[in-house]
Order: sequence, then structure tokens, then C-alpha cells
Amino acid sequence: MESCEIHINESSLRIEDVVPYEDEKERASGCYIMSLVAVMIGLPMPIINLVATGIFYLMSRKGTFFVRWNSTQALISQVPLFVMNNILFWWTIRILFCFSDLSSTYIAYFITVNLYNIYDFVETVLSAVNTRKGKVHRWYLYGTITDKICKR
Amino acid sequence: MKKILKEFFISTLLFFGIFHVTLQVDWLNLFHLSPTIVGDKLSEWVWDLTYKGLNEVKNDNVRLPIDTLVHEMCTANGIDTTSISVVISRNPDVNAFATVGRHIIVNTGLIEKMDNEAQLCAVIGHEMAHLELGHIQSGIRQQAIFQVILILLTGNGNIDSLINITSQMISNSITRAKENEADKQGARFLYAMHLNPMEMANTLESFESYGILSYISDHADSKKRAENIRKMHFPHKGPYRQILSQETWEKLKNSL
Ligand SMILES: [Zn+2]
Repeated sequence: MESCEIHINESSLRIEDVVPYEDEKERASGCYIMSLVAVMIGLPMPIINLVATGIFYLMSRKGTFFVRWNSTQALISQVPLFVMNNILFWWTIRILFCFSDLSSTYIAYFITVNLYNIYDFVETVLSAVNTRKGKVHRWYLYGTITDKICKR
Repeated sequence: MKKILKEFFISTLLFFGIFHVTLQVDWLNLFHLSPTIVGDKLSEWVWDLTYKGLNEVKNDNVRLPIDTLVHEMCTANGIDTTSISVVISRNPDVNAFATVGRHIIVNTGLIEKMDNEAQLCAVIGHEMAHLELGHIQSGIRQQAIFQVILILLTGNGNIDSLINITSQMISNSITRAKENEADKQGARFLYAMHLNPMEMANTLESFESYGILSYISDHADSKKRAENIRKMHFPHKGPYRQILSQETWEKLKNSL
């Protein structure tokens, strides 16, 4: 607890320098697992994704730096995914209900978004595993944004 | 902040790069898919269910002469005969309608009311005109979806009401202007096969005199429509031919 207090007062603190406690590792890792579950449930119904994202935000507001940093990264990684999957979802609905025709553009978008989903899935699993071990798994772009948002 | 912008730029570029690459492939051709595959498959399914629910008349005394009439109409008007199927349904309702997948259903109740082959051809011609003019194509896929939802909700049970709702929805989706168009096109079909096009007007009027509403539920002013046909100009007024022998026609009517 004491070492944590000291760290918090350092403004130039990097997430890599934090030595998390066992329960912190568990909670931070849980954020990624939550995000995985949210994506899986949210695939057919993106609104669930949105609700889960809201819960994420509330979770990230309390908690220590380590937990906050990881839950914020999990949250940020959800945002583009949420937008892309939503577009895909409604596009699919439109095709299934015959309001628009199937097109190569749709299939191209479907493949691109799925590739992104796979990338996101792999990164999230890696994050969950590494965080559980107490290591920080930094994502390209999202890690940088998280640094900007999560200070102290 | 600069780092975020740089990384954001690269990520966005990567995303659109991959999207751009995948866009270069003609996926539909690659997988042999048609743009309307969903609607087609659903239409097929709806038709299968509708067909199972029908009591199709398989008597050759009925089927062969009607096939002959349909074939004559198609060849005289440059329509692919194989693309259209006319199914006779044993049903006392005076009704005929075009439905998904270029099928035309004609009820025995309607055939009973017809005085001659030209009137029967007028009804079939009207429905075929709906198909040929693309009146049904545009709305039909959404209709198919509603049907599918309906089937799912009712649990497959009530095929009869399903067919009723189909014909109802299709006739509701066809505007009055399109009905007039189909009447006129139907009359032209009759003329092309050397039948009296004015039988179209007679058929419309006879529906009114019978007080039959099921076929003409969308034909609120069938008198007006008959008048429109009578105003049409055809270069030759007969002589018109007879396709089926009197004997075949009588047999048809007696076999219903
Ligand atoms: Zn009509």
C-alpha cells in the first residue's frame, strides 16, 4: 500500500513501472475477460456491447492505477469494434430483410471487420493472460491513448 | 498527442488498406452468389410452403388445356414458357394471383365462372402482365420476409390463411395505376395470340355482375377498368380463333 502511494505522486509514472498486487492483477485481467464476453454476446446484438461498455466505464472510475489503466485500455479497444460491428450488424439485417442486395462491398467489409475482430480477440486474450501475470500488454494506439487519459 | 495522431493515422490507413484490398475481389462471382440470393431463397421457401398447402388439381383434363393456353400466350408474346408456372388450386374462392418465383395460382372457383377460354386467358394474362411488368418483383421480397416471420410466429400451422395473406398483401402492394397497366398488357397478350382482347373487359365486367369481391378486392371499380379496355384500339377486329376444341373446354369445366 505504501509503495503505491509513493508511485501515485509521481507524475512521470509509466504503467510498466507499476508493481501490481495480486487482487489488482485479477481485477485488471477480469476487465479483458469481460470485454471478450461482451463482444461474443454483442456480436448478434450490438446493443449489449453498448451496455457492457457503460459498465466498463463505471468500473474504470474506481480502482487503483493498474486496474484503471487496463480497464481503460479494454474500454477504448471496444469503441472502434462497437462502431464497426454495429455497421456490419445493421447492414446484415438490411440484407436479410431484403432492403438491400448482397454485394461484393458487403462481403469485403464483412471480411475486413472479421479480421479486425480476430485481431482484437487475440490481443484481448494476450492482455488477459499477461495482466494476470502482472505484466502490461500494451496495444498499438490504444495503449498510447490510455497513457494520455490515465494519469497519476 | 503527436504519437497518438501518428498511430491513429497508421491504424486507419491499415484498416482502409485492408478494406481496399478486399474490395478489389469480386466476391459474388467468386462464390457464385447472386445479389438477390436472400430474397430468392426466401421466396423459394415461401413457395414450397405455399405449394404444400395447396390442393393442386393434377387431372390432365384440366392441366393439359391450361398448359396449352399458357404456352400459346407465352410464345405469342415472347415470354419464356419455362420461366412461368401456372398452378391450379382446388379452391372455391374466385381468385387468381401471381406470387413469388413467377408462379401464378388459379383457383378452380374462378375457372368455373369463366364462359370461354379467352376469359380464362384474360385472367391469366392479367397476372402474367403483373409478372412481366415487374409489379410484383419489387415488393415481393419484403412480402416473403413478412410471410416467413408469420410462419415462424404461427409455427407453420395455418397454410390456408398464409396463402390468403400472401394474395392479400400482393394485391395491396399493387397500385390502381398498375392494375390498369396489367389490364391493358393482358389485353395485348390476348390480341397477340389472336384472341378477342375485349374479353378482358368482359371478364372485368362479369366479376362485377357476380358481385365477386375476392379476386377484385383491389379492383374496386372494375366497370371503369373495363371501359379503359374498351377504349383501346386494336388494328384488326377478328376473326378470332379458338385454341381449345369445344369438347376439351367442356371436359375441363366438368373435371373441376
Ligand atoms: Zn391485378
